[in-house]
Amino acid sequence: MIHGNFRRLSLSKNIILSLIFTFFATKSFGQAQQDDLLVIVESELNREMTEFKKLSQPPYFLAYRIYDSHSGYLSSSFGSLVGSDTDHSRILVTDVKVGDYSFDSSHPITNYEDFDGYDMPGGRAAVELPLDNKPEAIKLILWQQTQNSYRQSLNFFKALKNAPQTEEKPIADFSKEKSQVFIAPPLRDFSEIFDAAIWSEKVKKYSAPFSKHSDIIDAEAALEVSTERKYLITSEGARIVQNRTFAYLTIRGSIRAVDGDIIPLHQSYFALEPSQLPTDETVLLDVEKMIVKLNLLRTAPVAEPYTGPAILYSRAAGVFFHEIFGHRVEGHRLKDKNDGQTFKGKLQEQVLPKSLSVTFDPTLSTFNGQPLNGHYQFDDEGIVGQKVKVVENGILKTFLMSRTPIESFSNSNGHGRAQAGAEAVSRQSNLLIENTKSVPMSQMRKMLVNECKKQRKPYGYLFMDVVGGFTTTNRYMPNAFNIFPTEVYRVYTDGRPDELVRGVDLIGTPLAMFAAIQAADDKNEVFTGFCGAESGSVPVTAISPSLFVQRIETQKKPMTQIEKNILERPVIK
Amino acid sequence: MNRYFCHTLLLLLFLVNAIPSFAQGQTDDVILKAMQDELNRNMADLKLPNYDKPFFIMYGIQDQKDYTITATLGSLVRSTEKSFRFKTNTRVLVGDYSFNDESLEDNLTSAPTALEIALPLDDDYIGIRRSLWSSTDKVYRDAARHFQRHQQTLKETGKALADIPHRSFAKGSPIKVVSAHSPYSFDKSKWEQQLKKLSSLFLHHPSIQNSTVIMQFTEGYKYLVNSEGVVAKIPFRKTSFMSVGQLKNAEGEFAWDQVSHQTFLPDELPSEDQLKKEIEDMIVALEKQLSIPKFEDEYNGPVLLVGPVVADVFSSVLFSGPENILASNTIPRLTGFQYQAEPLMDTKIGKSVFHESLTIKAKPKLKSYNGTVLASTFEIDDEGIVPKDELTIVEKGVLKNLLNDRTITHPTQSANGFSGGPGVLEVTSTQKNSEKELKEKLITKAKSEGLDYALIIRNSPALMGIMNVYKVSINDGSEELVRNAVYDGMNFKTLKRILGASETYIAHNLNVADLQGTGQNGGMGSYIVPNALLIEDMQVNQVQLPILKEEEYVANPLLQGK
Repeated sequence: MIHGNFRRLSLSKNIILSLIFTFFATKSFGQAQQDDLLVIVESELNREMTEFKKLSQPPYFLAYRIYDSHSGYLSSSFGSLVGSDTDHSRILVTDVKVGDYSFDSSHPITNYEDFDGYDMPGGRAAVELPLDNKPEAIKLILWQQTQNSYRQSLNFFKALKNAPQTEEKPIADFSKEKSQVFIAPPLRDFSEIFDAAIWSEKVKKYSAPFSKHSDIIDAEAALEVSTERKYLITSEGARIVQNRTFAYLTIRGSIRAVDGDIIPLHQSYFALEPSQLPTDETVLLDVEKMIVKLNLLRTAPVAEPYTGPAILYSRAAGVFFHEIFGHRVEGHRLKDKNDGQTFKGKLQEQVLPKSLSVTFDPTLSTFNGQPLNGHYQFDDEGIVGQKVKVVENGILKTFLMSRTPIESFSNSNGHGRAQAGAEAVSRQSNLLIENTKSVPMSQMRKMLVNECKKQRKPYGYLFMDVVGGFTTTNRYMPNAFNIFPTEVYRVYTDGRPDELVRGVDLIGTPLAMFAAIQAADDKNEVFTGFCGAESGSVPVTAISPSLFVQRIETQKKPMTQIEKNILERPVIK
Repeated sequence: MNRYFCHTLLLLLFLVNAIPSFAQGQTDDVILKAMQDELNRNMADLKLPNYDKPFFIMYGIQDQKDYTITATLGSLVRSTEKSFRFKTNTRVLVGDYSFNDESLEDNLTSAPTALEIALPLDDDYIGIRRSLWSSTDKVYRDAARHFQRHQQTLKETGKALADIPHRSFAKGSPIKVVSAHSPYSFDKSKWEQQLKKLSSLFLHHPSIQNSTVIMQFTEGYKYLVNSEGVVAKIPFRKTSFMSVGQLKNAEGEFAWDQVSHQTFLPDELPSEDQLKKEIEDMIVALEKQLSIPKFEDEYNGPVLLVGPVVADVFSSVLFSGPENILASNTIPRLTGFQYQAEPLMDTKIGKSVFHESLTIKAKPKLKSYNGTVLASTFEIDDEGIVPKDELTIVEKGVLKNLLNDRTITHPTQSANGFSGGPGVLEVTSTQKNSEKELKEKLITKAKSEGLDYALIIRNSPALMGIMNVYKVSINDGSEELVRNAVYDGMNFKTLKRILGASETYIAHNLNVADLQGTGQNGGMGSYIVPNALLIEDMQVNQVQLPILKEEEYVANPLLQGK
């Protein structure tokens, strides 16, 4: 089970976007200095490009992305350490482009029938690089990967050139951008950041309180710590070495409800390093609160399918915007003929209420003191991360851009992102929803009740917290979204206290939802996680006020039923 | 549906350097104590209303630490140190030994639930019990319900149990074996340096495009307790070393080769100088490989096997095909769709299956042979049965016994302690020939069959079973090495006609064929076999390997300027 999970599904490409929430921040940038790996890679890249020039069809672009990562993982169950792992790896991704910026080997396929299997590019397979900075081994692997990538790109480029061109207005395949040079200072040794012995005891301590409750049938505390030094060296002259560190602590508990259904709750914490995570007292207090909530959920009624008014608290609203809006302004989708292209042709049109603006800002490193997971200096194509106001006062202004141009947008705005091993495409960073017409929560509750009465509903829904969600944007499946709430209340029109319910998922389609947003407050909160899509898992955040929505739809969650154990769980006597 | 099996890393027990103690009474080992206490509690109290209690419970746990070092071209690619502790077996039986929840169907595995509680990595008494408690409950429920269904099925047939195909469970005896490792500290830094050095040998041979040197050292304990009084803590250690090289020539043809060793302890591997020499020899052979003529024929005739390939052939014949030396665990379905069952090996007991010169014995407790460590030795099997020191499988060509676990499906079967595979197999022959005599016999036989040449195989099959073989002139006995050959059609009949065997015997540790997909022997097997074996009729075919002809656009950085 994963925390904070957004996913986007596309039938044609088997795309699954998932969002899991973490905290991180980058190191402060230092002066350029000697980096042995950079020197080796730069030397081989220069040699390759010099040699390639002797060919009749040389590549016009060569890039190496290297992820040098240390990671640590610990997990506990009911107070026992059940997982412990550390790793150090170096992953290389090679990108060779043949042709020129206007038409190259990354050109989209318009008709698959024009190509046979041997022409198709084989993808950017990630390979491991040696951990020692010895030139021979590293250069040999770089050379092998370059040969393979060039061979694939050249074959595909030839096939593309021979295929009928059907585009009415040709759009360039790769944007021309200014090359950046930036070398971050070396990372601290991983052992200075992560003490596995100390943290083993802590994660054991965090999951131990669950063992006192016999109906809680699953409990886990897990810590993931990572330090990563990421290199980008291109034939255009980019020399970027960035650092990224994070510590991600998750607590999970599941209780068996009175009808046997299994109900999970999650809590997560993010920081740059483990030492910056909350104190034991804070975490243990949250664990106790989770236990209380689990016990309330045990006897809570199961919600029936519903359509009507609802309030989405800020974290739920953040996920809501990420799924229904964020994925639909990722620019490269407008070039994909299989995509639903919700916003194509809607530039300068009103797509959201006038009071709302939507910004993606990777330059923002913190919000209200919280480190933001979607912060970076340079994207994975070496472009400076830029603040992009996609919607201003409800009007669609632009899209998130990688180096893949689209109609009317020929350059990147620093949102080309990818996980190690994948090709960068336009992706979200820090999503911020700004609201100029703030309605206090107390007022929104009144609006909810009034709207329920108008719609003759005995109650509306209040979505307090969510664990993640997913959406589909392709043309072959309904362009729907699904959000997974964990804490949901019925708000009754007759003044009864709010009632906690369980077993409900929030569903819908994007355009209907945009039109249904009626009000927002000014209490922005951060939902931090990882988003998975065609370029892999990338760190993101969503910061949103709470929303009042005129009509939402829910469906029942799938039930997981496990019988109560015959014997009592063993405990210390 | 009444057991969990972990199908990975169930290693045979490596007992060399272990200090055994056959103690009485309760153990102070936390893991064993937790296993025993939880087992006792479940035996006493586990019962669903309206269902029977379990009559047998068994727990298996494996606790291990793996060190894996990978180097290429003088550089470290990975060096990891990982600890694992996992349940190898949670078996709960309801009914009795003769008729229980496993008796009338072949699907015996319970699917774990999504909420399975993992075993703690620490010696955490309550945590271990909690984990066993969670899986026992699930397995028992399945077992209890299946047994009730089996009772109904039996009733519906209107027959006595003895009159229908069924599976029974053999009774075991109590035993306590608690052993400890002798002290050993793996020097990771030393081995990292050594692997870097060995992998740097390929630096001088840039024609070998991919090369790697890998070493894995695993050590740990295997724990087993059951309700019959088995209490076992068995140490195991295993070291694997492999150096692999692969090249491709200008025509796009591939060649690859490897050096590999398996021992208990890293320090038992050949010396650094010896490994260096073996890798250098392998590099030389690999660089010559693609200039060797291809084998371009379909050969049926006498073949002389020399060296480790003899063990490979026995492994292939004894375990790979539908005919094998494992007792069957399957039973025909009582109703519904039925299919042709595998050959029932039990019916071949007492019949001649191999050449009369051959005798095959399982010697699971033998730890070494002529100085060679027998890596697959074990003293107690995965179901708590202690095998005899020696079990005759084949005597003078006649099948005498099959390797079996505790599941009995035929009157000839008994639980003989081989649920995890054979461990060590010794093959002896009454024929005693020098290699010179064997070669003469080979040529004589080939001539008598009107063949143009005969074949000698001196290399173990490499990747995909491909190997080099020697074509032997029937006129002057001269040998020509050819490549891309593969032997085919190996089965019991292959060993029915043996023309001769070497008088010298050698031990080999092999990664053997998976035992009917159970994977319970961790893919290992130790064989003591004649150093050479002359088989009267074997099929050797040519292999057409794919060619990948690719242009080299930029010179290899290691070759440039040379």
